[in-house]
Amino acid sequence: MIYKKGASFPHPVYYENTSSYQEGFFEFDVLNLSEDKNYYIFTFEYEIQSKFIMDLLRNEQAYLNIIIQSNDNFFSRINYNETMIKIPKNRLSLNKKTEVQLQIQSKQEVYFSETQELTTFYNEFKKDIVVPKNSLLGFSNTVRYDGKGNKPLLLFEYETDPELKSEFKVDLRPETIVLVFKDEKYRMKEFNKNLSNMYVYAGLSQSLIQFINNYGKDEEYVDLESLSSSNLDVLDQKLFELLESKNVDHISLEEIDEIIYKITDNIVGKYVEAVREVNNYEY
Amino acid sequence: MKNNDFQFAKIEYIENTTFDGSLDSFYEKGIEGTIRENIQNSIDAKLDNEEKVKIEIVLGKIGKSDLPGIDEVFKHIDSMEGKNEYTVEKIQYMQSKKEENSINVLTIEDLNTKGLSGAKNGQSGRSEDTFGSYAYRKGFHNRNENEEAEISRGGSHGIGKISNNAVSDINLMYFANCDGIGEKHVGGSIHLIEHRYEDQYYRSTGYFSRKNYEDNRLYPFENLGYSKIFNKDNRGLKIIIPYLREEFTDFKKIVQAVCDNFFVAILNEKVEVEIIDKTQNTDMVINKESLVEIINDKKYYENNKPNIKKVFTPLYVQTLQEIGTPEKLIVESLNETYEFDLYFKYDEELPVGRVGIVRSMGMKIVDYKVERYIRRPYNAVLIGGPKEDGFLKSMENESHTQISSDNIKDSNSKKNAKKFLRNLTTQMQKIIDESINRNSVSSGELDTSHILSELDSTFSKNLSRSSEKVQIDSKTELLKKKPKERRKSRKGVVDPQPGKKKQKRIPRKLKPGTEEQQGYEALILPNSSVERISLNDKEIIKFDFNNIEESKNWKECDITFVVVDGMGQEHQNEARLTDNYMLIKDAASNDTYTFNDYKINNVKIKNNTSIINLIKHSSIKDTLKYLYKIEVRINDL
Repeated sequence: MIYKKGASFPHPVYYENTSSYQEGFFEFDVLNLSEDKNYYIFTFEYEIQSKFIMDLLRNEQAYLNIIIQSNDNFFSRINYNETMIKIPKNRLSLNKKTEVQLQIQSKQEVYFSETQELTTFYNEFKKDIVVPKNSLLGFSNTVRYDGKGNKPLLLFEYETDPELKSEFKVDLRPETIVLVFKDEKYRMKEFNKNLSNMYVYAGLSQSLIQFINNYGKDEEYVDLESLSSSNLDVLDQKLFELLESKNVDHISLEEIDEIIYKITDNIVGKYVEAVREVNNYEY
Repeated sequence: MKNNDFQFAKIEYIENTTFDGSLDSFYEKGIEGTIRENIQNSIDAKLDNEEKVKIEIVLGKIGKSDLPGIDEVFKHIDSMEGKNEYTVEKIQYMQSKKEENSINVLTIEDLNTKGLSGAKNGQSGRSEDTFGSYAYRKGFHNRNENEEAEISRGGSHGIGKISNNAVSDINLMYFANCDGIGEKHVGGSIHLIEHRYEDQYYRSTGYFSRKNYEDNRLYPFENLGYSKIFNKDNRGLKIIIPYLREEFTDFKKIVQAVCDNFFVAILNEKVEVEIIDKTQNTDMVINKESLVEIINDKKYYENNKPNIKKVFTPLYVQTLQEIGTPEKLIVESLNETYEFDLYFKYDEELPVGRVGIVRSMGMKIVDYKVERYIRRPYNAVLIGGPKEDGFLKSMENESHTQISSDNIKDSNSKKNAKKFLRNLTTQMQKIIDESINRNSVSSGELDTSHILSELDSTFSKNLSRSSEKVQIDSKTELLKKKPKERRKSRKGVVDPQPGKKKQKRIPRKLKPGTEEQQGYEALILPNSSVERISLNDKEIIKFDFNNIEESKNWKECDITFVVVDGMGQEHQNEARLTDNYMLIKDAASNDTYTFNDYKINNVKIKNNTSIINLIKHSSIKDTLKYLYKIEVRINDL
């Protein structure tokens, strides 16, 4: 569970504005959320200004836990110097109501007799305080997920051009990938969307190849971490952000298909399903 | 002391036995580099009262005896010793020229321009003496007094001079100057390698000049008694390049170099160039009228549009002529805004598209490629003003043929340039896009959300800085009171007192409903007003009523333990005090208080504080969390 409202605990608990410690600073922030095929990856940072608490963590007398509360609760122990956690996608559904918090839990009995950090009232009794194991020792602020889960991407547009010299063509424009059809019928708009996946595949393939040619500096390979995103045109910017959000850190000409697999949601599988469906349909 | 024609500086020992690297890079550009450098300088040297700069380029032949100091030159050439294969080969090539008697020569002369000034002062090192810096300094050029003109000046780097030496087989060039008061002088330079001659080591560069042994400075020779090729009677500068490489004696290439680089200056009638080939008896004047003929002449230019992929001059000229009024193109960098005139033409016949970026003085800098639209059917010419010239100059490479941010060292300027180029590209893309005739019958966004989506990763920190959410909760029932709770949000105010942070405590006041009952005032104490500790045998709770305005006159109160569960829900009747405690006493007075499962009665308040000791039945710890509701009889005032 996530602790938010103040309430009285029977022993000193460390959190912002706690009345049991003289100073309470436990700040937590999620820096980034990305995903790969199977996991959500949270990168975060935190700061605790209590030496007493930090010592408990470093000496393994206390656990640091991360709690993610959405429709259900996800809880994991983490190392105190951890900055990243991977959560299987089947354990978490990101929706508007997701909140994250860090908590400190005693691993064994905790004594307060040596600390100078308590307020007067608690300081008086500190020699007698024994906090049993698995008790809450402190908690951070919460961090709320404001995202809408998956947001759609305007990467593709379509056009029909009767003058086209082929049935289909990929036209890479500065802001979008345009799929051009000689005739409306090739677009198959009245069918299952997934039947058009082959066109999207071609578009992604060509735009990624051009991306590598532009930024690969003769090596047919781009290390995304070293690419400065401030000088890309809009289309390359969109590709770059999509690759980053799916945790792809480099792309090369030999791996184009693997990359398409990573950044799409079963583009080939869904296409095949759609074809099977059409095949099975009885009139 | 010998009176040599060529002065080489003496050095203590030889360090470097290679030729200057710029020689090769200019050589690679062919005659074009020389043409660009010299015509650029001539245009910059235009006299204010002249309308047009006139330039005469002559290809011819001279005899060895026409060249002053040539025997001396070859003596130095013969004494060079190369240390690597490449240098050795080059030296051998230069030495092989010694026996030639009929020598190719190229002269480039501008008529009625400023010329160089301060010849009499020789190697003065002063910036006003343009003669001295032209003749004797490498990598140096003078700043024009007029800043605007300076910025627009075609030349920069000062390295361009060496382009004249680069096209000579023996890296030799001469020049003849006639200045504003009719004084005529000659000069020249040769680029060898460091060498040893007659028991003395010499630097690689030699100057056709006399040396004054009193002040150890170089001074030019007066233009007297030299062969006819050195004649310079009208004001201006004449370059003489002997031993012109055979492959550069190509009349056609010179014509092309002039047109390719200066078509704007020519069309604007800023410059007129006459090219004479004495060996072939050919002559051509390139001006506004003849330029059009030249570009349409198959001998000089490919005119079939679908085949134009490398040399775009005919297209640029056509674009300029067809587009009467240019559009304004405004491009921003990080710090500045730049304004250009853009002449743009869409033409379906063209296989590739380029933007000719031209300096305001009329020289083309580069055939700029627009990203993603390199192979689109358009042609354009982009011309700025002095401010734009200056900025573009910073992005040019040494030979003025490319713009990019790569050439900039300072990281802020580099970022600035990158931004400019990005914006230039984006704007050009838009213009090209708009001009493309698309025959689309239908178009629109393609929904790919079933296979492509991006994870939205926006997070926000909730710093719980004492902000209890304001809620209206009508569920809670008070004893004897109609509940209509209104919770005020608690605001933390930091007290400047050292040590403990004091907060202004605004308790949650539970307002009575419209039905006024026999006076109870109720509130929930803010968490920071309560200190609670559980020890082995007892629990101690301290209630601090300081800073709670309403409590000033309170003497006693009832305290209800409100259980707060894991989800933050409050439960007024869930506490089990009787199970946990056998006795509840006042810590100060030791009075015993009566209590039931969830409420303690008549707790005394003394000096705005109540401290109670709850004696436990056993050593079992009460791990529940509580909020404490305080009820005070209104009559208690």
